[in-house]
Amino acid sequence: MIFKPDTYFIMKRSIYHISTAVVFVLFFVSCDSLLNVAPVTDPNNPSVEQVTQNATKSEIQSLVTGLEVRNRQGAGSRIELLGSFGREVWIFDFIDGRFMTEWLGISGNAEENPSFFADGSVYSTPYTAIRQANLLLKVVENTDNLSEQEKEGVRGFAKTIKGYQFLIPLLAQYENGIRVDVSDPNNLGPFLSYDEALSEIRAMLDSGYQHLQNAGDNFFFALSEGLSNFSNPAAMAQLNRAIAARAAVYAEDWQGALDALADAEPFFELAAGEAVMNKGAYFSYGEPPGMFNPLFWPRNSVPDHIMVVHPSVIEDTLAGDLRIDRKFFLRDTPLNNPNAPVPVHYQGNRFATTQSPIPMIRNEELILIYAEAKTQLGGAANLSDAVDAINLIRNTWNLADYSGSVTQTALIDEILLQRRYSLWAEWGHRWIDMRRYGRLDEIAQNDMLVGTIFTQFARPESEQGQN
Amino acid sequence: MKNRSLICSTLLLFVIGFFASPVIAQSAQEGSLQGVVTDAETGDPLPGVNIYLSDLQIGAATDTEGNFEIDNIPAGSHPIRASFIGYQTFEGTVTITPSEITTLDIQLKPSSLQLGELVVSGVATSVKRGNLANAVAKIDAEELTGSISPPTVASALQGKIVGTNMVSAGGAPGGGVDIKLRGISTLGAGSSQPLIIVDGVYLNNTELQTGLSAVSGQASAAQDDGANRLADLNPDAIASIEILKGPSAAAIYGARANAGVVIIKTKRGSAGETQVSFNQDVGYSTMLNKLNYASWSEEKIERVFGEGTALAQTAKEAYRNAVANGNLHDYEDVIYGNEGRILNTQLSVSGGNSRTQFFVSGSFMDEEGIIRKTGFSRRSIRANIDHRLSDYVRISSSSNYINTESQRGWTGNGSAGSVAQAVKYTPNFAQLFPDGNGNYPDNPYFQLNPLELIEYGLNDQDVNRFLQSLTADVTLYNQNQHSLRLDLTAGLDFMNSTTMVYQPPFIQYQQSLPNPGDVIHSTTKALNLNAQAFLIYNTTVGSDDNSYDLTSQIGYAHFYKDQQLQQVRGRGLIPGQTNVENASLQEIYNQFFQSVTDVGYIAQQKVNWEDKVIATVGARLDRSTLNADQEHFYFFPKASLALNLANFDFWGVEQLQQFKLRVAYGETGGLPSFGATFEALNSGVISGNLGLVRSSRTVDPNLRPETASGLEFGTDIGLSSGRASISATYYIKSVYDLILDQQLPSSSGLQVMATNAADLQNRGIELSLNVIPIQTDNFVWNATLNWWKNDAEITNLKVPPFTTGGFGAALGTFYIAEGYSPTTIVGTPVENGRFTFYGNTQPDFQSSFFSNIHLFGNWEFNFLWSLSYGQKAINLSLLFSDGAGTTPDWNGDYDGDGVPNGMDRQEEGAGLYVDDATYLKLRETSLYYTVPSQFLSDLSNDAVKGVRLGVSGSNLLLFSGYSGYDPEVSEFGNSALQTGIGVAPYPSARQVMFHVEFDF
Repeated sequence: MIFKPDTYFIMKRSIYHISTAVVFVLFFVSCDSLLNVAPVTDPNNPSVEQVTQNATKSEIQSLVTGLEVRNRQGAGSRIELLGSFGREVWIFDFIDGRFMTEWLGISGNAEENPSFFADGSVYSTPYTAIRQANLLLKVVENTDNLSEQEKEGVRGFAKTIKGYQFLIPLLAQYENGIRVDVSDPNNLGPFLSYDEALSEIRAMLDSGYQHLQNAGDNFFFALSEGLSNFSNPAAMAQLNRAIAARAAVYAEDWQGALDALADAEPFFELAAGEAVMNKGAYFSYGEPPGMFNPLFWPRNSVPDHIMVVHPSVIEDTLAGDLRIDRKFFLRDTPLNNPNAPVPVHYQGNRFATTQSPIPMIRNEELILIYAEAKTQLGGAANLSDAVDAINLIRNTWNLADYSGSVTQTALIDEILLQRRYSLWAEWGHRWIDMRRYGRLDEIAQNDMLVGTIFTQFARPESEQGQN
Repeated sequence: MKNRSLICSTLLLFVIGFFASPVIAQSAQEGSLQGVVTDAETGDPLPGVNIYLSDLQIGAATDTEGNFEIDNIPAGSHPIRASFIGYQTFEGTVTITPSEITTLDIQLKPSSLQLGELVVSGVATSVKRGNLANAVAKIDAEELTGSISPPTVASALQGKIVGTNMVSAGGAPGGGVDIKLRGISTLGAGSSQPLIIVDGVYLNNTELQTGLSAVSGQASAAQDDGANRLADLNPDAIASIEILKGPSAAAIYGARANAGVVIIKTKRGSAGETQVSFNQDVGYSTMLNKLNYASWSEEKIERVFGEGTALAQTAKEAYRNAVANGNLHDYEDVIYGNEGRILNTQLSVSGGNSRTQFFVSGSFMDEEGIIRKTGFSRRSIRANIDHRLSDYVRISSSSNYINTESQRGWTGNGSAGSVAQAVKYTPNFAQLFPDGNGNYPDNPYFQLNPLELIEYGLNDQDVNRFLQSLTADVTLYNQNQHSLRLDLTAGLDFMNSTTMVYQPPFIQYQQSLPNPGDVIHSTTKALNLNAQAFLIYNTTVGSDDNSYDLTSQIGYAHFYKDQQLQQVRGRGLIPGQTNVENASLQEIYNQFFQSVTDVGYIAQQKVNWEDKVIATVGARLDRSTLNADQEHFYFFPKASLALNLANFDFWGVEQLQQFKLRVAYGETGGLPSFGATFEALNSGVISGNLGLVRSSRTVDPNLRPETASGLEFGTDIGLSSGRASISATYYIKSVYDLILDQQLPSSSGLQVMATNAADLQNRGIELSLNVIPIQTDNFVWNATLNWWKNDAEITNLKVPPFTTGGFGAALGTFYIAEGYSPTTIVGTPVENGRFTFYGNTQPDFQSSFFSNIHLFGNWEFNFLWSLSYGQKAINLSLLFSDGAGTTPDWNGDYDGDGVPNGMDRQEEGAGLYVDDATYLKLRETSLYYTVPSQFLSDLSNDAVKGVRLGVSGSNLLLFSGYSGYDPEVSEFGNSALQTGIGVAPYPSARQVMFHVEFDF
């Protein structure tokens, strides 16, 4: 057979085509990654799924620390917000005047606006801490890597923090009530009234207290510097009772408050002295990757955003009160703000550095709770105990013994005054205290502005299902 | 796995090389073709006409005398095509005789129709415009860069494409332009920006994080004010841009095409004499729209700084001194008065023979901004090589190395780092200039001295980038009306970006901080690899007078992306040091990894019945690791039909050369952004312990990708005289399964859940009228009028209506509710439980008018007007300037109540800031003179073939009632919804340039 040149050429070409096709097929077969792609997992973060299945001790430790991080979150903004509501502070923000106009009610309305300016710290932020606590509780149920005692320790800690955090939205929402059953995000429980929610929260704290009783002598997990006084189940149980005492006050269950305080000993200590007053639980701050103390500003600086002392707080101080020096710093040059009627001369003086801790709850508050509960229960013996407790506070701060009349009304006035200075800008006490006693109008007299003293926050937009 | 993907994609490049290697003996049976191309009406020679033998894929361009020559053409009959902008494409057949020179002279008829122009239709195939069933916009180099010298591709496109809404982020050099094709494509979870493919390379067009927002005191990296990286591409090297606006055209690009596809082709060489071309542009930019801040008086100082306050006292003193000493300063002028120099140099060499063609170019562009020490520069070199190995194998390589440097400066929302914000707070009596030693005084009226920040602050970005594509086109079989081709493409885009944002410790703002001095260094390394293989089978069936042309293609496409971001931050710096090791607080600010792989299979069938009826069906199957279900293949079909009524025998209207009815349908996908499908535990540190916190995001376990379907109807009508054509399209683009961050009740402890929660629909009309009203020897006027509108509406919302974006309801936000466009602006006050409605950031309609006038053969005059009507924008700069007393109308008193406007605005709540953003802009205007070729050849002895001189202006005029610098503004860059929010942006510039072009 003779090939004609043409045929030969075509054949040669065919061979070439076939061989190239073969090479191509081989290429694809050998490089199956072009066809079969392996799933991509999150290269940046661990997943929720991973810890909900038989978590290891170190994973649970990380989640416990995570709960501390969530517990600390928003503390600064909350103090700024509720401090502004109670006219303990003003927030001077060079750019955003809304920290004055909205928060002080010059143009904003917290009671009606469901998306009130920058109010996450009293609603969504505490609920993220609650979610973290619930995750921790779920993780503990689904692991075989902890003993029952160790699990009880985690439960006790988680419920204690959860109780502390639940008080925040409750106090902000007040008569609107809040949801307490939020363990299933797809099936949230109903809104409970203030009283119902508060009793649930107190029950939650009691249950945490019980867990801590069964948790043995030591936690298997480590806590932050700020909770170093509460790093074993027995001590954590005292912190739990301290929070329970605060909750009892909100429930006006005065005997309950005293009972809780009794169980909070020796954290709760009726004694004088700054060290005794400052004994307590704190939020720790540090350098990156940690977090700076959000309420620290260098003395005399002119930052774009700063919390200053409300002039009325300075005006009403008692002569010689050591708390003035401890808490307030007289600036070389005053600060001005377009929405403030007067220049402001004082900024905070509590924190030495960006790493100073912010109080979570201190013995000084417990002593004042003791005094208040005794006063409210009444009777000469109780009132006398109350006066003694008040004097512990007064003496510590370089003030003479209480010399007013020993009546319930007078003592409540005195306790509220002491709370105003002892607990200045720590939680939002002033606003809450005055509301408890129906005296928000007294704050209004201090206002110095045409603002509004709000009673509570509107239920947030995200809960309403419509705007 | 990452490495295997990479290795395999690289291997594919080599496999293409392997294909290219076996050289088949070249047949000796070759001949040459030559000829001259002239204007059919005037008889003038036409330079630059593309001559193309489509079966061989070789071509040439005519020289200045209209001559062309192609050598080494295999003997036999070949289809030939000659195309030139403004003329009807010539199509015919030429028969080459062995060892002889065949002469073919071609006359081209002027026309506004571009019926013969090739437009992409499949990934690996194209279709003649006359047969296209979609309204695909295609613009070429002349329209893109022929008039002005635009700094970036996006700015070159603005106002030119019917059906697009393009919004600049601000006026900073280096751009930043949001491109939306046919309305809203996503509510934020998917990509809002079109897929961009350059010579087959999937281009990375992300906006990179720089850390500016952190240093200047903002929380969200969306406000980093970066440019999208399309800015790296040199617009002068682009031959054409095709824009597949909707799913009906883009379906074949599948899961990444919801926001449309932009296909960019760069210039290539053509056979013939080597052409050297040198362009030099010189120009300057100045402020487009000076606002003129309000003047001051002692009474006003009392009002602004508080009556009787200490600050008012010192301010009054400063005012009196300034007046007495005559040093009141117009700070708007001081800050924005820099006359920015612009230089643009382009050098290209192209040519080749019938076997090998090349285009090599180098370019240098340097643009200064209207704020001192800001600017953008680009150095780019490109080599595009095409080589025909044999009659059956053709390979092409496109290589592009780019270096861009930006000095973005300090603008936007950043109380601690925005010159633009600081200047609003600075009254004219402030004394901010440095002393003899370069020490700047503190600004008593703001926390930073803008002059000091301009002088000492740095916000610089340096991008090095390499783009490479290789294609091989192998004819496997070509006999008896049957042809089978294999088309292989591989592309690579490697980008390395380093940025530094720096405020030295001694400047005013840093001095107020616990640890003065702040620097963030960011490094982004991004690699895109894509590879595709297509088999294309073409055949003709039927009889000679009733034939069907069938084109089938099947293909496979692979895309891989790997991107890494590292950011380190140092605070408490030693003066003069920017290395983080010299900081007392050292921090890994951010580290983020992304890895994505997509795989797709494509099939398409086209039937063309003698250019009368053209029908196409196709489908694509795509999977992506971005989807929640990473294994699942999603299906994207398409179908289209074009009826060229004018080509039917019954058509009796001689005056109409084209009368086409077309309908097209297609579906595309939109992928979630990376990380959106993961439920993460984030890290947090408290007293040295590392904790894990549950992220406040959660993901719907059944999350599907977003899909869009597009249905479009249209008609294209063209006069036989070529003097007028009109194109009209009506489209419905529906986007389903929009992924929304469904806001969860906050009490769940979760903020949002990513879920498929909404559908939306865009309906729009696109009209394009092209006319040549005057056509004489000395005066040719070519005009294009475009008009388009888009209405978006949420058609289904499975979650309660909500607001999103911006800075909250008090400052204007967007309302997502059934029956409303997602671009609806709402805000305070709340009345009857509802926010007040303030309008829409989408225009009611847009229009552009482009004219090209040729006078006396040598003069050319162009202008482009663009009109955007009815949209609203949120001007939050007013929040600053009203508080600081600098708003231009601050001193006025509209209601005569004695309180100045600045303290007594008529509107309340967010209405204060929502402003009418209708505008009319003279975007481009230019005048060119081409030196007569006879004169040149006499003068230079034929050394210089062409000289063109010109002057141009961009943004020369702006008419708008908007109260800020430019109604085109976007604080959030390329955001899906949040365009049209201005927070002290970089003011827009007007540019005037002079151009010189030489051809050798």
